[in-house]
Amino acid sequence: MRTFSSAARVLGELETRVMELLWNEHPISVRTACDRLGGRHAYTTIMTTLDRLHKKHLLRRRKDGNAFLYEPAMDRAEYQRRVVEAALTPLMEQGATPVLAAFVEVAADLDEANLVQLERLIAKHRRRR
Amino acid sequence: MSLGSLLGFALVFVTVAWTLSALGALVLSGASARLLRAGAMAERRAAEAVAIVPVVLALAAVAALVGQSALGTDHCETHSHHAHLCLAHGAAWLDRAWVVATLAGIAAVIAARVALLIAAAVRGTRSIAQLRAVGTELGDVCVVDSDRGFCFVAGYRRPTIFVSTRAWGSLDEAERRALVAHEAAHVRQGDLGRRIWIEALLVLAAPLVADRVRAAWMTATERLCDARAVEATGEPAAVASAMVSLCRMNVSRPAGAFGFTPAAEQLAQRVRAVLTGAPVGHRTAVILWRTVVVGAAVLVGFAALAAEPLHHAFETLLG
Repeated sequence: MRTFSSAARVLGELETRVMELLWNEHPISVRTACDRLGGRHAYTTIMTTLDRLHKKHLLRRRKDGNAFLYEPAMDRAEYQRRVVEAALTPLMEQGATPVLAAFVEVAADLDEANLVQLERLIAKHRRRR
Repeated sequence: MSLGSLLGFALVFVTVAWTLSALGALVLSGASARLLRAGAMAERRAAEAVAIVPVVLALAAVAALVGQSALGTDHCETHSHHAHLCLAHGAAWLDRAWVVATLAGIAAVIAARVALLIAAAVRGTRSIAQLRAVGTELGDVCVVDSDRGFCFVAGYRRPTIFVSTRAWGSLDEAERRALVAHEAAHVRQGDLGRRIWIEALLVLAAPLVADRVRAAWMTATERLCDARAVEATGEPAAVASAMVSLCRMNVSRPAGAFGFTPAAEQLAQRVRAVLTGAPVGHRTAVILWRTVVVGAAVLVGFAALAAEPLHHAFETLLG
């Protein structure tokens, strides 16, 4: 089973449209999804996409007769929060750093007293101006 | 040409590159106070020199020895007491177990460093694509919905400033201008591209050197961008205040860092440098760089002209 962080790569265009559809309307069957998306995609394409999103833990499904009904496993805000966390975690590990330049790094031995001292220094500078 | 002769030249490369990079790191540490006074650009140039020069001189040494072997006279009969650094009779290096073992160990270290660097770049690039997909782009800034306080610039082809909603929302207008000006300076200077080149060169440096040089380069680069932000906004207090505010947001979760975790003193140095208008050190950086280039050129010339004695010296030292 894939974890969220390994699965939460950027969604493809169709996957995004399907997720947007399901966040607005759920539960939904493959046939209904096809209709809602304007019938521009083959039934099997939508079925495969829904199945892929289910395997990525982004959708839940239950049997309804012979068909599956799909619904989002999380709302849009929760999905975005998880994507951000999944993306930030490797960036905050030592090895991922060659791809970015951060404004500040939190110093290893930084504490409240250090910060207060620096804020006083800045306030003093502002008063002098 | 045999595999043995390649081993001999590889040994020369590693000996020169590791010795010079270790010496360079020592000089960088010894001169850190002076470089701090000289300015961020000077310190950055010094760190870049420590990354570049050892590799250039090691390549020059190998080129001189290969050239000497290809063009010079055969001396092997008169030096039968040690292994030969020549293209024709290098097989003796294979008979020395310590040479094979040492080079195998060093090759493994370098291969591991390359693999880690590539993996970090690939993972980081993927993460940046994820953030870009969920963020909201406001001009050059991509605002990402997160309760962490962060701001960084990322993306080699399309550098973008990523800032969290918490950081963006907590800063006042002047601090935001300072933040954007700082990150825009990274983009203008091509810092992400430079960083990758430096990382690639440091793969060939002696153990422990890479961390020291990387930290010096990153600290100096951040100080340089602070100075650029002050130039652009004319508000040193806003630049300093943005730094402190962002640190305050994250001080309760110090486990997370995007690069290295500096000492509190480094943050204080940055704040003080911004508030006092510390020199950027452009002139010193130019003088330093010219000195390094001329010095390296002289050494390359020496290697070319003195290939014969150099060749024997390396044979005696390593053989």
